[in-house]
Amino acid sequence: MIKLFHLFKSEIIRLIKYKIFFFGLLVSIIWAVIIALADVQSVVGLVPYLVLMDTGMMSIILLAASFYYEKQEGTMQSMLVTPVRLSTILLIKVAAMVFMGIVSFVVVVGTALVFHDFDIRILPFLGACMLAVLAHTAIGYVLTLHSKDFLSLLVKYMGVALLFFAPTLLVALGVFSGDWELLGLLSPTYAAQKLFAMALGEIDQATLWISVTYLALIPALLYPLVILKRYEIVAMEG
Amino acid sequence: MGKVFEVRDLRFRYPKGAKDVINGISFAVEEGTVFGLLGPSGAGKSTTQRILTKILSNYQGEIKYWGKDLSAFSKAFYEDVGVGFEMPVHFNKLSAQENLDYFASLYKRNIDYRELLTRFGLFEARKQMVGEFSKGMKVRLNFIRALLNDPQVLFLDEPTAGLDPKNAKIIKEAILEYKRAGKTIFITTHLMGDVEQLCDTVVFMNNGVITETSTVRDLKLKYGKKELNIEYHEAGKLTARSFPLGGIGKNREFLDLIATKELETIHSGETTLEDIFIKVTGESEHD
Ligand SMILES: Nc1ncnc2c1ncn2[C@@H]1O[C@H](COP(=O)(O)OP(=O)(O)O)[C@@H](O)[C@H]1O
Ligand SMILES: [Mg+2]
Repeated sequence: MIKLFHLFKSEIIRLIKYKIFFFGLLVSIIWAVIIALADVQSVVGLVPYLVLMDTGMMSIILLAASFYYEKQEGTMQSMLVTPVRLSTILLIKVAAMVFMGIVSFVVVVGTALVFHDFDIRILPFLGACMLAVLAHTAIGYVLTLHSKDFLSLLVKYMGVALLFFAPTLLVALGVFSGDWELLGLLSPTYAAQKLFAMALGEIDQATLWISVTYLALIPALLYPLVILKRYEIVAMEG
Repeated sequence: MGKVFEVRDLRFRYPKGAKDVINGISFAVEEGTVFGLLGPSGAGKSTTQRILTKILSNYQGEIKYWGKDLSAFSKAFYEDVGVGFEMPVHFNKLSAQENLDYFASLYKRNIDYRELLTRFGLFEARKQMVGEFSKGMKVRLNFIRALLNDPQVLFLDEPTAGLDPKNAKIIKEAILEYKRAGKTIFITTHLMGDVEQLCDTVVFMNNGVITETSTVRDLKLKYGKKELNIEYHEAGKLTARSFPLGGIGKNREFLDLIATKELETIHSGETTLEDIFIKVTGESEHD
């Protein structure tokens, strides 16, 4: 446990030194400013989107940046010749991403609560946040590990971002409605968005459980079955 | 003394490679010695090191580590092994000290690296970002990192490549000192000087095969011509001659010469390892 904590601390220090933490925080602070200036009505609508930007799409970018720094510096291969298992290293990296998600949650939601007066289910919201990070970083890892450089990752990322935000757009434009909306949950981003919205408003049991299960299944399957193997190969190639 | 590694008929092909890059090599690494894998660039030296350090696993043939199958060892293998990569590998935006702390935290056993920092002239720069280090400083830090867990077996891939003579000397002295402490060191190199000054055993490798296994002394005996080179004055001109060293005391011509001529220099000559390298691998070391 002590070792795990030490590794986690080192990873956070690394993210700070490489300005990745700062970059993530900066984006959250921008959202916080927007929230502070908005009126309470718009805030209730805005908060789920803004938290979604941070814990969903932002966390993929931050993870990729962190990954390519390491790849460029060749430190991944040097981790292979230490007694620490690769699964532990990966676990620590994911934990660090979840931690950054929590920080951004505190900044964004905290600001909303300080400046405005409205009801919110804090703990379920936080839980949904962590789920969103876990699911999106899993997808982020799959994309990153299958791209040869940051640029080719960005191209894939744009495609995926478009796909994942499609349900949000289609619903907003009124194209998706009624039962069709459930189909939108196929996008983990949309599923997370629904969960966040429920933390601030009404709960729909079916949507809740489908989203939670789906978001939990993505990392539960991708990490052990796809990412770990691929991570080892990429690390080996140095 | 035990055998740290026993390698028999090792073959390896990279997953995406078209052909084997290691073509059936066999050798043994004795405890407490410096073992040198020598060969031109592309020979397969780094690949061999990557296999012995368990980075690459899908090899054919047999590798025994302390008499046991290498693949049977878990991650605990690395508690006793130190690895220096060909390229210095560091977190460039962390300081030297932060880098060492990070890697030290991954092992059960740690040395006090401050003494090494001092010795390698890095103590003053320990709080500086490694990205700002010179090549020599990075290589020295890389070396310290390989020693963090006080390994029994130390792997160094081209430890002196690209270093100025001063830095190279620091590293070489440290390697010899580590050997004197009873540790085993495996180095790969394409530099003759390294082998001559460091290695007890040397294996020549080219195109994935071993062309010669020997000790530095035996190599010289086998390939080296021993001769006596004399320079002397004759008719106002400096003249040079060579005689075979064997039976020199009964060599009339030689004895006459030293009795009658005014000598300038006498040297015994040996074929250098560099000449032997070219002979054995069929290539120059700077290819
Ligand atoms: N990751 C890799 N994938 C495919 N081939 C490789 C890889 N790394 C090295 N090789 C090839 O294997 C051969 C041996 O390389 P290497 O072990 O690095 O040689 P050396 O260290 O002696 O210079 C070379 O032909 C090289 O091109
Ligand atoms: Mg090499």
